[in-house]
Amino acid sequence: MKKPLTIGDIILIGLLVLWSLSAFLPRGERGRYVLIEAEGKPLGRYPLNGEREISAPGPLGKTHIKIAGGKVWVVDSPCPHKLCVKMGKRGRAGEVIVCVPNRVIVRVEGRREFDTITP
Amino acid sequence: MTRLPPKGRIQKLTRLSLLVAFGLALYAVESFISLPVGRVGLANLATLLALILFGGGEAFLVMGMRVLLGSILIGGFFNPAFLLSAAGGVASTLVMILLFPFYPRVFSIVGISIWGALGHNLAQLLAAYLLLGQAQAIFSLLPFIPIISLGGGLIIGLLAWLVICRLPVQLSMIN
Repeated sequence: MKKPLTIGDIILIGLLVLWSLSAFLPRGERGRYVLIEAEGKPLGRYPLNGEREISAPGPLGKTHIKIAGGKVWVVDSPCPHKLCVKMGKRGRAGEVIVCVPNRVIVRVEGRREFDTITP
Repeated sequence: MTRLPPKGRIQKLTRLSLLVAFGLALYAVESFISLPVGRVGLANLATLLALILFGGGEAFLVMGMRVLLGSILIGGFFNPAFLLSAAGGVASTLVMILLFPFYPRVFSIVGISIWGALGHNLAQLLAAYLLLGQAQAIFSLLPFIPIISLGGGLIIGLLAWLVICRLPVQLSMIN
């Protein structure tokens, strides 16, 4: 009871820190388009090279998304965890920003998806 | 519970009820304040204290009562938020009960708490997937799980440790 941390704790914390580093690995080609889905339905497709602000409606309110400088990010969202805001700026093909509580999904798409999916 | 004299049983019932009320209060505070750093699962503190002071079954009872009463008082019953909170609560309590035999030699209160937070967050992610589908979208949140679990687990674990250290000896030896 005197020591707050044991060997097992320190190993566990070390493993979790290593796992969390995988969030910072960059991968994939540059994205070209942003596809936004709100409440399961596609809201629109926007080019990544423009500058634009979008409000996606969800069950909790409006999630504010911004596109600028070849990146897309969530500026503000009414969800409790703000995980989508913390996911930061994304610009690589295949990257996704999700707001689970407000049911908003932001996908970055490369060239290939553009030929196959039509909203 | 049956072997305790009547006075002991009432005492235990009262203390478990207090832990449920404590968990509910934390749950309410957390649902009203949404900090930019996100939620840490403060209500898990009551479950963790019940586990250490009374044992696995009692911890499960405290968690179950809190999730049920919490959804009736604060959130809607059986809406997605309730299902996510129930999945997280059940998973974190089960993980902590399973690892409790390793306390205090391998894992301290802080370690048990981090395991609980990990179970909580992974179960919520899985529940979100089962509710919404969208595998790729939801599992792209996976790298954030260890960060939130570490933050939440450390805070809850240290708080529980401080509480246990300050309890009078007779209370911490109740069972």
